[in-house]
Amino acid sequence: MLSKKILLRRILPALFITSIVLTVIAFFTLQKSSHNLDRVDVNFSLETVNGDQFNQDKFLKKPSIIFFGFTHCPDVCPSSLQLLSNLIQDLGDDASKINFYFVTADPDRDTKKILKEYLGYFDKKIIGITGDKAELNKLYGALNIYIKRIDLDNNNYTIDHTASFIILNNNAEIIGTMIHEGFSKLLVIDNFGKIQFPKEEVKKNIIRLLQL
Amino acid sequence: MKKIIKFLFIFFVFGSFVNIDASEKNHHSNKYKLGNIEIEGVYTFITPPTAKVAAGYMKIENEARKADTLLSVTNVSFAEKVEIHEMIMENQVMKMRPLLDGLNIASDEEVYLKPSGFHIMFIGLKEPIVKGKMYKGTLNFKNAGSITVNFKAVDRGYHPDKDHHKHH
Ligand SMILES: [Cu+2]
Repeated sequence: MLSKKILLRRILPALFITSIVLTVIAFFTLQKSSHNLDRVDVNFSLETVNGDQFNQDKFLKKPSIIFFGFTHCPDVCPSSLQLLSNLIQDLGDDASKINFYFVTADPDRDTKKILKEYLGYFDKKIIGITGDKAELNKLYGALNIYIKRIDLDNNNYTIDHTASFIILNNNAEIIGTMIHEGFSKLLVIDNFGKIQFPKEEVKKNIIRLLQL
Repeated sequence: MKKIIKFLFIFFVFGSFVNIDASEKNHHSNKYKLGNIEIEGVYTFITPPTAKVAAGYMKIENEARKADTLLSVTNVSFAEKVEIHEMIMENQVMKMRPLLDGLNIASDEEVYLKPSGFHIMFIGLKEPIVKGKMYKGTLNFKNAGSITVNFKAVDRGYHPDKDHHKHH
């Protein structure tokens, strides 16, 4: 039988040291796993709705949060843009450390002019991207975005599209996503360990994830 | 003379109260009954100026012993076309499809038209949806008949349940 003394003097300190060692190992393992993240390594050439250049280099200066949608979308897209606008407000000064993009899934109908006017209704930090289909397809592919045109009656069509936000670090790596929960809240998912951050703290989790 | 002024004053004040009461009543009566069909919480979100589409939402309750179908929405002056749609989220992919045979409401069931689900799709908006305004449309049911409702234009983030603090 172990006496209480031995338990206190030997085993507890041993356990304590072991837990520290394990924590350190876990920390470095997590750091290392960043090499497994998907990276945007395709060259594309697009323009923002303001006529500025937009290419893969834009993902290297600052982290980015990107959403794909179209102006003929009744609720997911405008709701997402509203949630993103709210997040930008919450971030305050930290918002200027991130680039926010809304990339069209419907370049046929979303011209620069239409998209610019549409986005004018939301936070002005959200940058609109539209343009050449082939160039856009490169971007969709690089970020694993599903986009498919569905033809309806009377020459009308809709577009099935990924409705989650992509979060890139400033090394063009997909570090996480934000998904909808019931349309009024966002959930942050960390791609390192698939951790779902609590929805109440989206702002805090974005700051932590991007190490702002 | 004083008496007349006093009378006029009371008459005027009372009259204005009656008026306020009437307009208040209109504003809150977002509830409709059509035979055994009850409709509640009819709203639509305000839209960006260049938006070409909007969606309308509501709760439909069918107290009849038979199922009913919302076949169409007509008499909409602010859009070129109106359809009944469903929305599905599959692996974070948003898919929207028209319900060509209408929206079925089983007997003793309530169906919610709500964001990311069923909705009335207003296509080809002739004007943006502006906050506070009411937008008219006639709902046509297979069995119950037709009723005209007002879609209340609200901010995004609005939830009809918050209007009467039901589920707290
Ligand atoms: Cu729709």
